[in-house]
Amino acid sequence: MSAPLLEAEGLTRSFTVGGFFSRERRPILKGVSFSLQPGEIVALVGESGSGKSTLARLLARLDMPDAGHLRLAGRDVLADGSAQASLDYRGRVQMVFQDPFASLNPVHTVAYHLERPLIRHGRVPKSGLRTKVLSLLESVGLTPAEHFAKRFPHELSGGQRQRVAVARALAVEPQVIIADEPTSMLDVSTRKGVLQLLRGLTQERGIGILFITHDLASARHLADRILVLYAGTVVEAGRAEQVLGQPRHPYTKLLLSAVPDGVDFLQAALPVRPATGLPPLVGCPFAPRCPVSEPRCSTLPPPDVLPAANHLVRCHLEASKGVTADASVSS
Amino acid sequence: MRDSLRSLLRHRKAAVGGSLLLFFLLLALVGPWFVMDPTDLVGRPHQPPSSAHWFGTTGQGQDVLAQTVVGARETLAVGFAVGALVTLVGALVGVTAGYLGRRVDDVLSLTTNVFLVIPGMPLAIVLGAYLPSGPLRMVAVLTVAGWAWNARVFRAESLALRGRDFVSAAVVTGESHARIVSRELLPNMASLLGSSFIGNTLYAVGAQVGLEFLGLGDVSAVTWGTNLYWAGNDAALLTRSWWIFVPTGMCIALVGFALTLVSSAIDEMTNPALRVHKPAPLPKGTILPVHVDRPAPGVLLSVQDLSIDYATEKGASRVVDTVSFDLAPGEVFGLAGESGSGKSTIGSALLGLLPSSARVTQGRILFNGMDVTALEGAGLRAFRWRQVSMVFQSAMSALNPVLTLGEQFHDTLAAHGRVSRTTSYARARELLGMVGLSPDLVTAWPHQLSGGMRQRVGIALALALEPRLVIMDEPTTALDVVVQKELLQRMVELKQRLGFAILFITHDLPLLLALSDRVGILQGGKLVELNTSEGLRTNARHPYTQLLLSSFPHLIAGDVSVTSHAPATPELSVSRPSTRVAAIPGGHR
Repeated sequence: MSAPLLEAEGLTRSFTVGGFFSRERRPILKGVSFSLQPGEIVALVGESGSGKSTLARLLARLDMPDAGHLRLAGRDVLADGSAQASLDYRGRVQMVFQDPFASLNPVHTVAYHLERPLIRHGRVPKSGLRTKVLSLLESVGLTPAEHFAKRFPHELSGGQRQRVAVARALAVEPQVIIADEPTSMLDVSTRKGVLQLLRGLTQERGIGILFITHDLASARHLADRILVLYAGTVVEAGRAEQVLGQPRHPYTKLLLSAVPDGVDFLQAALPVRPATGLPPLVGCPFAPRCPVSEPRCSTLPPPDVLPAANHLVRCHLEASKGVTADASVSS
Repeated sequence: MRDSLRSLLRHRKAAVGGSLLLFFLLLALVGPWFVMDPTDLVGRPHQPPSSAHWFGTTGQGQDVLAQTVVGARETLAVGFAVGALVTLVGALVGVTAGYLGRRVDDVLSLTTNVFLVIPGMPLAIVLGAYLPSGPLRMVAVLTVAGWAWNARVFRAESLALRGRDFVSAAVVTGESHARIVSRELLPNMASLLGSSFIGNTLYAVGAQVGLEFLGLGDVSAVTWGTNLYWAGNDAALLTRSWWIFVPTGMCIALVGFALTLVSSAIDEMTNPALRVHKPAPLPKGTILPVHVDRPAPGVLLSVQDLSIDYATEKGASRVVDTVSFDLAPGEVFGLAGESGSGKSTIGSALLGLLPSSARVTQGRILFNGMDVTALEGAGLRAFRWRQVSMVFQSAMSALNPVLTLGEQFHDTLAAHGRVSRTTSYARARELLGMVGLSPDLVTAWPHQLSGGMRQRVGIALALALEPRLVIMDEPTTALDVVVQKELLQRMVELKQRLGFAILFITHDLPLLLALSDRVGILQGGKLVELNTSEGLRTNARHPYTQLLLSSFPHLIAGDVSVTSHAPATPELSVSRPSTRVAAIPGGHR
């Protein structure tokens, strides 16, 4: 396999908590590693507070990790802090934000939002700007393009705004798009259109997409691979049908059982113990809530287990069943 | 832009303030050419108004009219110059501090605070003593003394804007800091810039006149401030020569009045919360005559031909359109719909919580045979919460952040009858235990709870008076799926134990089908389909219901996948025109 498009290795980020004089730091991401291939959609699922959005901000370089590496096509991007390197990275990695009501500047037209990246990255000559803007709008299904180009964000519906946000990300012809819950703020009948649009991009242009979501059902349909994040740790990763079809980690099983699907949804009990405060810093972070935890879970960090090719689980119980892998191997 | 200019003109405050201001500007610009030289000693001192000197003469024999007209020029020039400079310096320092943050913010904020602590007038007096005389001295002195407060305002504003996603999006696009500040942040502060400029000009005129009156300006110049200074020096009050100071005083007061009007007009036009709405009147309702029926057996709530209109500037907008449904005691009834479908409006109408711009224009809501739409005052208060209570979407804002949970329960209980605090707290502990929280949380504050815990408190509060119907408006939308399921399971268990009915409002149709006995589908204010959950799941008839059902991807294989090349969802045909939706407050997006 060639070098992955985007590769994160051991990304760590913690934030200071407490008042002005506090030195206490709370880890939000604890060594997250993953890779993204061209034309692939990787879904990152997890509950609020699991570190999904922090990871998205690190990957979009809106924030710096405390430790870890980030490689784009094999090149370490964190090592070079120059403005040119940063611009170069932004020309290749783009982001679509969660809230289309906040991610477009209310004082600028749709055309302005699309022109800026084109000008900033010198993607088209000045004369071709208008044509390119219109073709971008058409590519995200906003037709007639002339009509939408001169609109202001407040004149568009949520779904239309999110399409503009996708068009802005596409303007620089990126290789990677980080989509942070792109459909969670949209009405259900418009969600599918945006998801289809993202899927089309990977097929037609070979763009790799990191799809951050809390909705397992959309992840199942959109993603090739799924990473399950819990308290800043990837607890399970693998092909979508594998992770959701034969979940190994107790947390993945819990998430699946909570999806409102089917008649008996409310009858089946949740495989979980009641939450007790913040996840512990030693041992397995899920141990206090895990229905099948053992004493070792709260003292030893769980090892990486590979029950099948390209399937990673971090759980002591899996370790006793299967083959423990070398800790450096990741998804 | 043209629109905002037009609305500026239509605005009465803006029109009056603007024309007054324009008059004084014209006076300052061309007036001096039409009057005598204000420094010439043209007549005898202390002369009252006459045909030769309309406003009389000063204590030295100068023409008061000439002094007033010529004085406008420098006073207003300095005023507007200082207004512009103070706004500019304040905005630059404040926005830079707020946007860059960290060390830059520390240094700039410290400087700003130091300037804020130094009292302005003494600073201006001290500075004035060291600088060469002239109008520029006044500009410099007033700018140095006045910029700091503005910097704070702009820093706060840019801190709020910096967190917005469009700024992050501009960073991801690769924009430079300078461009983000000038093209993304500042245009969003246009109204603040405008009203600050006017406010600062007001400050400048006042402070300038004050300094000059004290003799700290250039006493040989002709300005409104020095006019007053000389009036004082020449004992205008002692000689009862009111004509010497009244014209100048009136001018200062009128300019101040005009600036205040314009400033508040800008505020009102850009801040919708301050705007006084004059919506078109609603059509006269055709509410069915109030008569108390014997409640039909097995019907707790009966909504009959209910229509609700919102008054907007463009006329009445029908949000709920002849909706009818019944709800049996102990039943879970679901209302599903997207934003703008009117589902939350129905929920508010059931509790008499409609905003003042909305009105029930047709139909009625019968609760146990009693017409809810006709309830008022004490009757409505007794009905709310005791008969029907509500769990709101945002658990975050539904609880009062400055009261402990026990106090909030006491408030609710005490509003419906005299109870002692001890009894309330005991009941609160019991209710908290009922929703699966520790009774000790009765002394906790809302911010100490997670979102799921807060929503449990919301449910406990809703059950405090043992109502017969609980309306739940998107109670789990902001929660994670695991927390959502825990909450719903608890709710169903409580319902079975206590026997209340639930009206569950949400956009999440699969959830509703799993939870409810019957479900109504709302589209654009109309109830397009109503059936049992089982019936809808297997046999949805309306195309919109089918569209909604197919829009939710399922975990079980075999359904329509997003990868299929089905035609793109027709967004516009199912959602209402956005202008109409935007006029309606509330609801989830």
